[in-house]
Amino acid sequence: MTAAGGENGARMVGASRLGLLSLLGFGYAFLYLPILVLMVWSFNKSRLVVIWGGLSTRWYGVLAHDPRFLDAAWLSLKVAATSATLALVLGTLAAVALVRFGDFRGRNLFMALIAAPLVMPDVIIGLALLLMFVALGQTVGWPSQRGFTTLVIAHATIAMTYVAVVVRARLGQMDHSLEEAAMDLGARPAKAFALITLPLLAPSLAAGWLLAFTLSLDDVVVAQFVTGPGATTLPIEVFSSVRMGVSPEINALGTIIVLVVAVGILAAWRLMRARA
Amino acid sequence: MAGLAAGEPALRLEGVTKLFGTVTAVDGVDLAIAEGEFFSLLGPSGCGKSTLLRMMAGLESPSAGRILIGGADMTGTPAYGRPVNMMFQSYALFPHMSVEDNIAFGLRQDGVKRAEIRERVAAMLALVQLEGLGRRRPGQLSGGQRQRVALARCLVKRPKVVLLDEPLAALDKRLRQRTQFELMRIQNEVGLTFVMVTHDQEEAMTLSTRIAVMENGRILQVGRPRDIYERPAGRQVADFIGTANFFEGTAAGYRDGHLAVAVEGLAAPLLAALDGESGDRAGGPVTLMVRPERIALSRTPPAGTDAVLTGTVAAVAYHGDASQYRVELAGGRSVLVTAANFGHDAAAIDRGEAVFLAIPPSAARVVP
Ligand SMILES: Nc1ncnc2c1ncn2[C@@H]1O[C@H](COP(=O)(O)OP(=O)(O)OP(=O)(O)O)[C@@H](O)[C@H]1O
Ligand SMILES: [Mg+2]
Repeated sequence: MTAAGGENGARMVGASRLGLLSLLGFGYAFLYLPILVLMVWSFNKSRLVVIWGGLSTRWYGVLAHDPRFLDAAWLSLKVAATSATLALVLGTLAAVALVRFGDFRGRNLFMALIAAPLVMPDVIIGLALLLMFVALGQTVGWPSQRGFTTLVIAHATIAMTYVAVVVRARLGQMDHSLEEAAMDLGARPAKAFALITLPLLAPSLAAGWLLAFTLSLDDVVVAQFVTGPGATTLPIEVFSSVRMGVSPEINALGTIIVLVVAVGILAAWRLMRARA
Repeated sequence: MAGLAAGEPALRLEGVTKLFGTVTAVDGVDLAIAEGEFFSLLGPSGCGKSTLLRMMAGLESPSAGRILIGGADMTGTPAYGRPVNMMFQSYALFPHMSVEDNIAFGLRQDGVKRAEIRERVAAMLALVQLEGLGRRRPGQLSGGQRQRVALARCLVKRPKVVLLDEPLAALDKRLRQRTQFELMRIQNEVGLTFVMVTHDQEEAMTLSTRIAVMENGRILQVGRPRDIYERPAGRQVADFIGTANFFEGTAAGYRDGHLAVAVEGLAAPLLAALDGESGDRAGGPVTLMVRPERIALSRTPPAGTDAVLTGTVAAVAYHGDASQYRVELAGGRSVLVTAANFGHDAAAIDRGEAVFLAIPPSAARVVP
């Protein structure tokens, strides 16, 4: 290749980099502009949603005294924390079984089955869970009604998949001889797991829990199917009140949710990268 | 040790076999390793050394056979119940614990008192010359330092047998040589029984009281380094330990307490040491082995009764202290010769020169 050709090539690389950057900018604007708009409008003084009446935190105050939203938020937090904890235990057990029990028959099938719910439409999962709860209620009498318990079970079912995937990735990287060394030095298998594997797994476990927590917090579709009267989660409450018309109060709530979710995701992401 | 019958080996294997599916990794191994020995398992990659060591540790259970430690049958005892400790090839240091906590881990599992733990850990740090680094994490240590932490961790419980899986393999060549002497000093000081896996024959020769040479899951020969080098049990062993020249011929008879072997293409018969052998081999086929350093190389015909061969130098490899020559004999056969480089005649010998090779009678050995 001649020198001139090389220069030309460099200029083309420069141009294509500029193109890529603007594409990237456009992509991010596409993703985040709507959220930004929501956040800005949440500080609007006016009651009218599309007319700017000056800067104010008035709607945050109103929100803080609205029992509908407060009750729903409290329920959502309880469901999210409980289902995330359940998902953490189940997902971790699944990951350990898949990584540690060697090449058992049908392992690949199980791996695929674990990952499948990741791409399953929420509507299908919600419907399937609803049918199962109804059938269970009729045959064994439990759950007798839908609400907190069914919400927790449903969210744990979905989230354990994510936990299993996150934990399995870390466990697969870990040197198995660490546990062997612990046993060689006199620790029984359960103790070796608790003293060596669990601490090393901790960042992934925390990441998995946070992921499960946020997934539960912003689910509407599955919750619609499996919840019952008197158990309205925050997203459902928001959804139904928006149908009456968007109030500035909702914008304030949306901003808070965005912040909570963002902090959760960011923390999960940082934990996953830590010590990886 | 208490409860030990006198003369009971520290470790005994009886017909130990390990199958992985259809692969036989270890095939009917019998061994007895005495107390205080530095024993090496030597063999090429994939011959089953690590698998054998892991069975001694209890990390792998044998498909057949028995494992006795200090006279007690421990074939079915899991790793955490055996009085042996292993140093892993990857060191397997716990990354979330300090050096001290790594070394103390085994003692804590046994419920040793705090004060005693502190004392013994400090003694170990001194033994491996890591004083002052006890608070560091393994990630903050050099490769050589990590290796010493791993060693300290498997010595601190004073196990009946210390198992080392390629303990020096991850170190660079210079450090490895220095660490060999360290390892000898440490074994001397602690007085424990060591079993080491290695594929490096020099390392095995330097460190071991005895070596077991393995291939394909079997033990080919067990013996002191000198015995294995000078009296290999077969061609495979001779080939694996150092370099060797082989001559196939026919036993022509006995002469001056040596076996005379006529080799095709060689004018004079080669004389081989008898090693107290008494049977009459005359007329039978014989394989002889001659180590390259036992052959004398010269420009002028040597005096004396040695078998003398003539040839041309085809290649010279200069190693500093010595040089290795590949000499092509008249019949097309080539022979390797090693000669020290201390200024004598041989040092100047170059490619293409015609040379004489003298093989003294004791240099040639009959290979079974
Ligand atoms: N867990 C296992 N499953 C199946 N086959 C195995 C397993 N472990 C070892 N093997 C096989 O057993 C044989 C011996 O392996 P081993 O690790 O003992 O060899 P090695 O002598 O230590 O070799 P290297 O010097 O390369 O470490 C090899 O053929 C290996 O592929
Ligand atoms: Mg190995």
